Formats: sequence, structure tokens, C-alpha cells
Amino acid sequence: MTERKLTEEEIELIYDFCYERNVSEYEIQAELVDHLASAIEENWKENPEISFFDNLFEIYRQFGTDGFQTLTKSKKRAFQKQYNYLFLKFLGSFFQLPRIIFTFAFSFFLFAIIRHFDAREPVMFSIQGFSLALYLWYILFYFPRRLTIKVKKEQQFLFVNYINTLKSLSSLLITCSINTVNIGFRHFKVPNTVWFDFSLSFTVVMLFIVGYAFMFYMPKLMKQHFTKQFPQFVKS
Amino acid sequence: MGTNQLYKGSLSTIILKLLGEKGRMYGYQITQEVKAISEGEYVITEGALYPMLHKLEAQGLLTVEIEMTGNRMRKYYSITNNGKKEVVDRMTEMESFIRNMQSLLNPKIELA
Repeated sequence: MTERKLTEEEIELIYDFCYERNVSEYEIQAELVDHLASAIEENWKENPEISFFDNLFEIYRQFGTDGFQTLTKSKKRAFQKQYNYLFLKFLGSFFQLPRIIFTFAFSFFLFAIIRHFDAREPVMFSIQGFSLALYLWYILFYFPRRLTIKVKKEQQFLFVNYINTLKSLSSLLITCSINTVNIGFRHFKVPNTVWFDFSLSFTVVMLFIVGYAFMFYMPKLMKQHFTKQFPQFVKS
Repeated sequence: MGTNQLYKGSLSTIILKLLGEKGRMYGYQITQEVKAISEGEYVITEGALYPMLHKLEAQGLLTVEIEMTGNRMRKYYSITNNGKKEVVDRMTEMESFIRNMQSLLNPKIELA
């Protein structure tokens, strides 16, 4: 007698089963479906008479009282941790050779301009204008064309959700930075000291590095990883 | 207390060692392999296996490949170079732990 295998329709039913139990991201669903399907087919070797649904529910029971919740949470946590680590590693590289030269060279360059022309306010407002223009170009043109992951199927992916989170974080970063500069220069007396000017220059450079990581580096890296792992879902 | 409780703290070492020896494996295969090797003594639950696999992947000790197998996707885990180094360290720790446990639980009685 040939071994009983799951049909395409039954595989789809397992995907639905996972979705109904709050597993909406494809990366988690795919692993669960394969596990459940392998266990179902293994059970059929010993007990071929058991129905598909009885078999499925029996295996689901083995996941314990909270069902797929522990697994889903652990996957999301591990995914975030993995990419947070890559983000921090990228930031850390700006404090190591050779990038540390760039970090301090730009900080000193900005500091020199501010001190030489005694123009803290015009410099900061020019940077603000440049950032805003850059951000508009990014949101309207760059992100939709180069960083959006177009998927063939109506499906949620952890990768896509995380890229969208980064996009929101970059908006937050721009808004907070602009408001801080506005409030700081309009409502407070800014000290005219060498240390303050250097700290200001260094902070601006750091904000640009963090912004670059949120807006370009991380989404690009994630898109590459997604394309490598799920090439069949990428719409060209 | 079930025997599984005694294995709990060693799950990551068991997974890393297994992947180091067998090459790439998928989740269900790992549970079956461990069950077979331990002759049914240790059954890894799904609720313990997958969080651990995800954790090891996030730590860079495992890497994944996703492939179509028949009519479904399958995620294979394999050990990275960092993972291989980690196995060596953990095996040394484990051997030392077993030696200490043996000394603690089976003290040699010296006759005067």
C-alpha cells in the first residue's frame, strides 16, 4: 500500500488553520505547516484510517495550552533581535577604523564652519532644510521604487512589517530632530562654547548616521535577505 | 519529575551537536532524530524546539535555507562556523559537568 500524503488542498487548509490561530506572518506559517504536515504524514504511516482533521487536532494538542503563541512570540523576538544586532553592528562600525575617520572628520568640519562664521543658527536651519528635502525625496520616490518589497501573494511577512517599521522610525527621527532644533534655538539661550558647538556637530553627524541606517542600510539589507529566502514571492 | 526536565538546560547543546554531525535538518526531523537516538527517552516538544532554533539563529549559530519539498516549503537549519566553535566549548563544559555530577552523586568511599 502506498503511503498517504497530504494534497495541495490539505496543505492550504493547514495554512488557514495557522492563520485562524493568529499566525499571520508567512515566515512562521511556513515552518509550522511543514512541521504539522510531516507529523500528520508520520501518523498516517501507523494509523492510515485517521481523518485529516482528527490527525491535525491531535498534533495541535501537542503544542500545549497556548497553542502556537509561544512559537510565534519567540520567532518575532528572535527576528527583531537579529536585525537590531545588525543595526547596532553597523552603528558601531562608525567608531572603528576606517569609518571612525569619517565620523570625526565630518564632526570637525561642521564644528569648524560653525566656529569660523559664528553661525550656529543658520547652519542648523540649513541642515534642517536639507534633511526635510532629502526625507521628502525618500518618501515620495526612493522608498516606493527601491525599497518596497512587492509580493505576489496577499500575505504578511515579518520582513515587510519590519521595513515599514523602519520607515515610520525614520519619520519619527526627522520630526523629533527638527522640533528639537526649533524649540532649542527659539526658546532657549544656546551657550556659545567650544564644547557645546562640538557636541552639536557630533550629534548632527550621529543623527545622519542613524537616519542613514534606518532609511537605507537596514531596509536594503532586509530586502536582500527576503529576496534570497523567498525568491518565488518577489514580484519583478 | 520527568526525565525531560533533566535534559531541559541542554537542549541548545543537543541541537548544535546534532546539526554539527548530521548537516542540515528541519524542525520535525530534529524531534524524530532525538527521539530515535535516545530510544524514546527524550521527546523534544514543539514549544521548546522552535523557540530554541529561533534563538540560535538570531545568535548567528545557525543559518537557514528555505526550499520547496513536494507541495510545501521546508526550512532547513545548518550550523555556522561560530556554531561549530560553540559546540566545542559546550561539549567541554558538558564533559566537565558530567564528571562533577558523577563525583557528587557517586562519591568514592575510601576504606580506612
